[in-house]
Amino acid sequence: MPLGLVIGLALAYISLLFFIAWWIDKRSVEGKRLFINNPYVYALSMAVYCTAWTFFGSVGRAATGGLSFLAIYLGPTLFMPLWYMLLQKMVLISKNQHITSIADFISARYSKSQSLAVMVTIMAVFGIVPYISLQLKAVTFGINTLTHFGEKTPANSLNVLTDSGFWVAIAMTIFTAVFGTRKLDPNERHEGMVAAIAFESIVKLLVFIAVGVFVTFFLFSGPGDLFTQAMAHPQTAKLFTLEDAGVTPLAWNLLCLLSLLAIIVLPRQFHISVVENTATRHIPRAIWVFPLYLLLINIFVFPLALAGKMLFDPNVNPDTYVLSLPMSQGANWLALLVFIGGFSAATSMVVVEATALSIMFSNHIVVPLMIKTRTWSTEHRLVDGAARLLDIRRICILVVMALSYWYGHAVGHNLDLVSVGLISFTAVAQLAPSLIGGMYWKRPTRAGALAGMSVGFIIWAFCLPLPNMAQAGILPSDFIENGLFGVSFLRPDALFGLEGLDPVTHAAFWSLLLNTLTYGLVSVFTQPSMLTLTQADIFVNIHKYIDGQEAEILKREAKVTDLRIILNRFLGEHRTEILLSEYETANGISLRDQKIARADLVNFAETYLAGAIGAASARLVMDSIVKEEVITLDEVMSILQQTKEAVDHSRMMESKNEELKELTRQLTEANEQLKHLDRLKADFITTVTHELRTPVTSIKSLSRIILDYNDELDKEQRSEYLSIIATESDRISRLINQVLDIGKIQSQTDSIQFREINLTDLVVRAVSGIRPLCLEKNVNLVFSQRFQSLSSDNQPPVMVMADWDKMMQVLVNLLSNALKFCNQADGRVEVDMHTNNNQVCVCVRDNGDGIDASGQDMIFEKFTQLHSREQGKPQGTGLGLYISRMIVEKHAGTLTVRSEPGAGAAFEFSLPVI
Amino acid sequence: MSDDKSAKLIILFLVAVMLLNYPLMGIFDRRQFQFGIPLIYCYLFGVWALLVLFIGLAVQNRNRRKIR
Repeated sequence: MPLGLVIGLALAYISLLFFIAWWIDKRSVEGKRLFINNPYVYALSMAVYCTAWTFFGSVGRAATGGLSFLAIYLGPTLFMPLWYMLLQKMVLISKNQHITSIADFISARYSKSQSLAVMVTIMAVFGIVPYISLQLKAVTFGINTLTHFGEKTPANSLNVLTDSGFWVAIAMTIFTAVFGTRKLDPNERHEGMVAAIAFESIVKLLVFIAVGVFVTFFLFSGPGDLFTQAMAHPQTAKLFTLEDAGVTPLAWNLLCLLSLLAIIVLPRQFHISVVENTATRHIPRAIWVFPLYLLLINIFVFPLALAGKMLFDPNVNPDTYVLSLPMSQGANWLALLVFIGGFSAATSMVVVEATALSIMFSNHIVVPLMIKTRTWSTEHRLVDGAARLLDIRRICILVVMALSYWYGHAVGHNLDLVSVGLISFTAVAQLAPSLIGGMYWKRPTRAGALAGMSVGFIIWAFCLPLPNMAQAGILPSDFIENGLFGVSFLRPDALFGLEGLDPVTHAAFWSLLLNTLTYGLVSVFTQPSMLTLTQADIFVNIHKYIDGQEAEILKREAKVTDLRIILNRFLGEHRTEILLSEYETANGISLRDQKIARADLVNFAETYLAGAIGAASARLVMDSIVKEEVITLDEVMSILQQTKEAVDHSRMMESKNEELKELTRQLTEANEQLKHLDRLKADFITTVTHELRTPVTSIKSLSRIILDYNDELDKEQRSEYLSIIATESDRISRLINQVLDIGKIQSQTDSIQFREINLTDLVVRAVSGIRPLCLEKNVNLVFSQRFQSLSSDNQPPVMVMADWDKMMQVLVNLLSNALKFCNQADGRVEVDMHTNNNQVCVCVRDNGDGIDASGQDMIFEKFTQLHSREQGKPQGTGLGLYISRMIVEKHAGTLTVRSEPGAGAAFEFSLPVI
Repeated sequence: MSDDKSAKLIILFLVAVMLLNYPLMGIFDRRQFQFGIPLIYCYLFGVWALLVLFIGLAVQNRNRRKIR
């Protein structure tokens, strides 16, 4: 096949890609985002995972290792459920922190560390360079196979100018430089590029399926036929089980692990799935479309490998089977399509990977160097910063591509595609512990991340690329045989004596194990800085920060003019103006009036700058113009004071609240009492009127009888009636007096005239006053033994502060009650008195029926009279005890009753002794 | 993300890890044919397809309900 045709077709295809990218970017500017804001485009662009390695190399691997190549695709597939959660978190963090690369991501997590960013960049570049060289090699293979099919593969020419690989590298560099750096976007979104990648993914999938169908169904009559023939063929029979193909369980498991980590940490995967993500809602679709894509593109790999192995002699490189199979059948048009498919896979990988690497390289190595050496600030003041940044990017791409070409030329030519790819996988996998650990665990420190990655990287370099370089004759090779410094357990293929593993499994095992251990241990034994803690909180609890409420711990200020200069330099004047006016309108201020930019503007500028030059570089730039206000002890104290005040205030509110509750309770109680009193008053009036009506009625009727029947009544009857009238009148007047008493006692205290009185005298007087009644009723009224001894002449008189008349009233009331209620047949009333702790108690005891417990409460109420069966309603008004108790209470004393039914009652009042 | 969904996804991941790794995978690593296709080939692609299906169901069902 003529070389011109192949190159012409490749150029035409590249033009098509350019057209797609240009068209999509144009639509994006116009606001038509149909193909950009699309989950399928996002999912397909993720298929940049399938490179020329997949396209050519999987078949090559399957031809020697059977189905072991599937681990590289099954790893990501089984990881998808967790990837769904992890990816969402990564995207949210990246949007929040304006992260543009994986180096940015890791450095941002660990206090925006410059050294960490540099380290990740270097690791990525070293790890990815073999991978890019692999793509160049695959394309070169493709061209050579197409143009020299059937001839002996030409030996690598010593003259670079006649080496087709050189020209492929040149072409790819130009393509990538033009494609990946067409514009500078602060978020590093390249819609056109993503669309072109998605398109390439479709091309490579369709072409691969086409060649698979061609071989399976046209060369053979279906898969059944192909498999049966292969089973019988000596070359292919051992490929049918993993065990026969020499795949160990550990190798398979580690291959799964490596490839699932690759999905997270490969710079191109990070770029496509995190940086180029336009909306988190695209993730659910991508999470199942992507593994489906992997399935489809792998389904014919094994049949193709078997077919190639059966049809070609063992000298043919299995990596070229995909091309050789159609060509051997004369299907040159299909072979050309296959070439375009492989070319798609290679270009998409190179474009994204080189773009991602150049972003890292320029943001974390070139720009910081320029800032530090001041070249940026002294020269080119007027040069547009954006254009300069793009130039730096292009130079970075050139460097990366040159390294890749050199690697492929010097080292990689005797390795197969998959081995080279796995070397890269193992290298970038070293980033995974620090990346994932930092997103779910707050403790890891910058030192931990640095140490872990260093250990992993050193072991990787020692076990994989260094022996390869030694075999290629670049390094002395005796360390492979004898171990480093002649120490036998430091052999790169059997580190620490671990033998019997293939090099990739061996290297992956040691590097990842020791990397993770070092990372964890160093993190636990070092202290994180303030900034690391802040960032760790953002990364671990990103959902808290999504609204942009970033915790502001460092107060930073800068001059507005300085800020403007910096922004102009890196973003260009136009973008700076847009940005600042955005800030002005959002905050309602005018920056022209202000000299000093506040902390929020500094942070705002820094996050946007981070989009252009990476978080660590942005911080470095800002540090040059920012005065960091150290928070003084006073400020901390005042913050604490404010907090304390707030706490105190809330406590006060709490206690006030309690007080209010108490007051409310008291009010409710008072209200209840008032209601009760009101009811009592109503009862009182009813009772008083009722009590008054009864005697009035009898007086009225008796006097009417006397008036009407005066003549007919005999003298005896008349005097009887008149005596009743007199008694009833007495009763009325007594009642009225008592009611008046109640009123008086209730309303005022001064109606009581306190004087020093001798209580013994009072009791003796009262008893002698009532004694005639007792004789009349035949009741035995006695003084108790104690009273007699207390009142004897040699004892000091019992003196109390009291109103003589009132106390007399009380005593007479108690005595007459006792007379009334004592035993009718054998009445006995005893008066007792004793002193006790400055209190003097006077007790009147009868031997009547007694009062039950419920009655004891009632008798002190107004108008309560207990009814007994024998006596019926007793005489009296029912006010006596009530008044007595009131009088005693006015004397600061108490009046109580002790009684049991059938055992008499004892009324006792006590008063304070002087 | 609901806890329910997270739990589903984690279980799916664990099941996938078990099915697509040794020792379970070793059961199917035999020189046998199923439907005219090598058993292990059949098994790996079958699990793969089912996994895609279940992942799709796990992550997308909520969205679909929303649309309805």
